[in-house]
Amino acid sequence: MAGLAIAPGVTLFDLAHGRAPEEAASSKVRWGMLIDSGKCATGCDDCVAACGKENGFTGSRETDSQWIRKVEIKDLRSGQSHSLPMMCQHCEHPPCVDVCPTGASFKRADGIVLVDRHICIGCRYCMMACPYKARSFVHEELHDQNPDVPRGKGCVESCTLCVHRVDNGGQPACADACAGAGHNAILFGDLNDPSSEISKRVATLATTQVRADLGLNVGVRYQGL
Amino acid sequence: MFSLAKLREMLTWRRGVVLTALLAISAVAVAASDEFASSSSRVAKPVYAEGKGDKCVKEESYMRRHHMNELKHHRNETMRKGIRTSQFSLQGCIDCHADKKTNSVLGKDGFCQSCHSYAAVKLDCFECHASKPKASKVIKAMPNQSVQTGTESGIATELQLNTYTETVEPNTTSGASK
Amino acid sequence: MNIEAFRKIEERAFYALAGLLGLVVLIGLGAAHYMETHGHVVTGMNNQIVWGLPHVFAIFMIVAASGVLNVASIGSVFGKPVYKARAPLSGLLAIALLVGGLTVLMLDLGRPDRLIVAMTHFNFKSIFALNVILYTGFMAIVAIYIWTMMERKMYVYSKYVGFSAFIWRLALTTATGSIFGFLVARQAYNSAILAPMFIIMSFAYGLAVFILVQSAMYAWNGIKLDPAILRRMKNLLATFAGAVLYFTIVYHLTNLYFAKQAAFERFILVDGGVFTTLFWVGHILIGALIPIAMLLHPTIGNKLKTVLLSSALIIVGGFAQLYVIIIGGQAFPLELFPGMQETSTFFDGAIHHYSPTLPEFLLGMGGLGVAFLIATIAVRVLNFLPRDDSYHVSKDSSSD
Repeated sequence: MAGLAIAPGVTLFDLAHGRAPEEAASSKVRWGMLIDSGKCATGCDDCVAACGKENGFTGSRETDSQWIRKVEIKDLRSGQSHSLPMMCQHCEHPPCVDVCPTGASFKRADGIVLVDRHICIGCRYCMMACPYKARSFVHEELHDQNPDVPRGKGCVESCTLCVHRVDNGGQPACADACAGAGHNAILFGDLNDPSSEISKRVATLATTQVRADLGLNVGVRYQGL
Repeated sequence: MFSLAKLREMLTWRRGVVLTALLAISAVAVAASDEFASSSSRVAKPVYAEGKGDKCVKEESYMRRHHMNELKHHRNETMRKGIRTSQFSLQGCIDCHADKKTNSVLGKDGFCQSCHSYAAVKLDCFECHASKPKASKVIKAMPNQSVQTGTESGIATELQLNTYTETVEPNTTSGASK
Repeated sequence: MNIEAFRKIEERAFYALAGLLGLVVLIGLGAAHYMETHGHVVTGMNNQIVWGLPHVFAIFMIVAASGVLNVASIGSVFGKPVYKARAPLSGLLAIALLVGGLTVLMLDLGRPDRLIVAMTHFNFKSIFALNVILYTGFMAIVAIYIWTMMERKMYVYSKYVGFSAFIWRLALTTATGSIFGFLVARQAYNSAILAPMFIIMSFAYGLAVFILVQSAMYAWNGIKLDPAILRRMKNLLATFAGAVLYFTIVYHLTNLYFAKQAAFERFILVDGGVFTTLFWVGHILIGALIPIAMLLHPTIGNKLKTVLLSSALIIVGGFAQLYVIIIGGQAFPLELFPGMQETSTFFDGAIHHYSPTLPEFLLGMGGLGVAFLIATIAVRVLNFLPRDDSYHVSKDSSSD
């Protein structure tokens, strides 16, 4: 899996990342993210802005979609506070998939949790079930969608881990934006590949799963909490 | 169970007249609508605008009959498995068939809409899917050839040989969820 | 009005009633159409409160539908002749209310045009998908049940079909309660007690609806209900209302015992604003204490008017209770980081707001309209009027 070294520090990369178009996503891969809240600045919302731009949503009314949001948390006893982005955690055992009556909510082989809008009936049961408040319902008609990110009224949606970019060998827009701004608080990678940066860090650092008590084995991990 | 006597009681002559009148009206309406269908001037003929490419991904006769099945099959493969082949991709259709003036497959003369209006088949794709091609032309790359640099930054920055489509942003934000 | 005078205008009265209900249904459909074309932005629902007033109406009707069948079950399964005479009406109301409730639930979907998808794609791990099967099965079984009761040749089977209907309705209400009970993430739900609680709620709401409809039919036909039967039904109603109160107390006591639930309980019971008011005044006072006291009062408790008023209060209390459970449960924010204060642009850590709009209310009323239109027409076309054989009544009432 590790790829062929063609020069020091440069490897020919043949992971399922950038796989052939006719090749299906494989369960050998599990996409995930590691978010370092120590590097995530209060007030910075580059990741949120990039996600909105990529996926086509704006606004923060109660009826507006928010695939990713910045959460500020504060321990009232110690006064310690953190800032972090919160989005779909791409659970291994997603409650949204369990409750979906039609099977529109599903988990792809490579661990990305998606909504199949073709069979979503808009019942919103998944929104009731999600522990992370990661899902949004499209409350009104949309126009001028990104051709890569179809979205529309009456269906539920959430972070797709920028599946259209990942399938083409890229990484999610939020991770790109965070790195582009020099924060490097969001690390995207394959949790199943022991040689990937994310796996190495998860193996050595103390990382946290939000609502670990639910035993969902999330794909988005946090460090520094 | 069903009391026939009661039913008969309910069917008074007045109601009988009303029922007959209703039946007569609907019969006339059906006959009239048949007549409209036969006079071709009532409904605009669909527009078969030339696509941008040389030829379609399959014979036109096949596509006319089966495009919906192919699109549905393709959508499930893409959605569920992440298979993104280009032959029956909806984006491919739109890239080729978008109207030269409106840059869209919708509208009165739009490739999709004009024919669907003619055939009176509901077109459900474009409530979610964009009806215009991506703002810049996607250069189809060869897969499996991206290069990864082992940077120390902690973020695996990928310098990809396969010209990953960093394109001009399409107009995604305007109007979307306001 | 004099019953003789009413007889003369009876036919016109029926068409007027049916027309009125039809209008309510049409307005409801119009509201649903408005919601569908404009999107849910025209409702009070949002990404925080995702289920609103339509769900309160729908779940009330679905719960009451299974409960109203209880009257038949007491007759067929437990062999009480007084209730046997009421079984066909009970079955009819069960189907009518279920259709009404499902209509609302279906028309509130983001994509009601995809009903066929809901009927052809099943995720059997979803309690919702299971409910689709349980609801349609319920309608079929109850329809067969009514048939066996009304068709002399089939009558021998009515006991068995009645028993299956009873088991089926228990499963159905368990599954309805589990829609909430299985939501592990939310403080308000995630409790096995919700399933039996919904069953007992169904007993109370269902009987209250039945008593009101039965009285309306008796008044229409100028028949007087036997006081012994009235007494028996009102005692049963008081028992059911008391049982709902008991389950409510146990539910909240359990939560109060767990330190992690203290904040949520404080919200509902003390400082939740409209939810606290609805809980104490709507559910506990109007929906339980007042009707129970009235029904058990030695003198006024036996009056028809008291029983009717109590039934109405129990229904009002039921709506208040479901509003608190469904909307109050969502208004309290999800706790992502226990012990931490959370803030975000997506309203984390804040109490969520919901103010229902007119279209939602009209859709809910439309569902009630559907239920009562079905019942009104069926009652006129077929013989659903409960007729008591005086022999049974007098024999039974001694052993009440």
